[in-house]
Amino acid sequence: MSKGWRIIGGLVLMLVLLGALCIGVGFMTGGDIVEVYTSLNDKYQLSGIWDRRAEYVDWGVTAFQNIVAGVRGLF
Amino acid sequence: MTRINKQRFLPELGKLLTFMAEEDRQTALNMYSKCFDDAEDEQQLMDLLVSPTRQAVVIARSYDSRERKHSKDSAEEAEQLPAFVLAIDKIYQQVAPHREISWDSLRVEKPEAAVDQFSLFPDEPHPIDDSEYLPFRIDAETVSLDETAEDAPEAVLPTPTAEEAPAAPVTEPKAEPAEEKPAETKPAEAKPAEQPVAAPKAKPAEAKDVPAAPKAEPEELPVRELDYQLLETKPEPPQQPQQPDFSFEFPDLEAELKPSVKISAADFDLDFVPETKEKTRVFLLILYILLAIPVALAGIVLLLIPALAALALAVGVIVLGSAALVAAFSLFQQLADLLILLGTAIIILALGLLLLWLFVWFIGGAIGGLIRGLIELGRKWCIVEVAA
Repeated sequence: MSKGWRIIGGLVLMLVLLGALCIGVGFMTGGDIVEVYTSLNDKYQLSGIWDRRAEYVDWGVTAFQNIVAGVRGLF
Repeated sequence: MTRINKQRFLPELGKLLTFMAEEDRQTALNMYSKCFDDAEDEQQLMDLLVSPTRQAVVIARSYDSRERKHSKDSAEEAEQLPAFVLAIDKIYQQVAPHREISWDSLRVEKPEAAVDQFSLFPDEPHPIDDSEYLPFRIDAETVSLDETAEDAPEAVLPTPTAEEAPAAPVTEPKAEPAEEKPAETKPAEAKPAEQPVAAPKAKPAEAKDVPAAPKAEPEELPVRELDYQLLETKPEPPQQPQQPDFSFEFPDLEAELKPSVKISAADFDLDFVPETKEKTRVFLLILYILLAIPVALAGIVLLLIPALAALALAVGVIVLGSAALVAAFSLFQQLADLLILLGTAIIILALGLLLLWLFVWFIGGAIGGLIRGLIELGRKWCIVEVAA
């Protein structure tokens, strides 16, 4: 397990560094975060998801309660 | 032949006996020397002694340094023969049955040492700790002073002289003239103010033999000045006993060992493993199982909650990262914006990978470790190994 931790930790660190490098290069070459957000919002309706976050939380809580009730039903 | 063996035997034995007190070592060497001198059959003696190493082992087995130290302090035990003396005497009786060795004649007494002298042997509480101890106290019963010393003004001084302290290390030129020419010391009591006292104490013998030597001339000092000098003169420390020889040369044991007693690695069975049999305590095992199963189930459930949460998060994060990665290549035409979203997607996927590994660790490491630990604990408590 300790060897697995070392491998996964190294891999994650490399990916994070690579992502940070990409973001840095993107900003240095004229990237705009507002334009990126606008494009994503147009495609995936991010603002709508954010507005309905309460509904998602309630859905998650209800799902958890159903799981707990199911486990109690086993015993 | 005997002389050659003795000359080789005794020094080597002396080196091997450095663990003994110095006087005991000298006593032992004297007794061995006596054995060589009185042996009727030298070959028999050498057969008995075998080697200095063998005799050192014989003495070491019969020698107890603590006991010897204690016996020196008490007069009753000091009269008893030490065990190592009896061991050597046993050899002596075999090589010289018609003679008898005298322990007292060979006994080497330990010289008087300073009370604060360092000792390698464990000692009684230090005499300085005793409140009654006085470093310069002179016991009138034990110290006998002759008339000259009693009358002379020097007699009250703590400085040891030839008559007052015979055991003290007084140089011979001082002691001899005191015995040979007592008349020269007496002028100090007859006419202490007029006669020079330093003349007989300095080196009168040399002055008499070589009168031309300048150092031999007696100094004309009045008695008062001499007393003052004696008061300032520190008493010489008692003569130290001969320092024990701590140099040790390893004996050539390999040469002394016979080929028949040589031990090789082939003599040992390195694959030898004692056979044991596992015996199960059935009743204890049943009890343990009854307790361990609920504990294991509770632990597994408790560990499954964070494991499943980590899995759910990992799946969500990986889906999010994948969506960002797809969007990066599908939505953006500019490389700069693409790189920003690509970097974000990579970081999200890295986080998803970490969460996925966390789930694997919870399942394989934590829950598996819990089950393995319970099994090992049950084996340790309920199964014992007994000789087959």
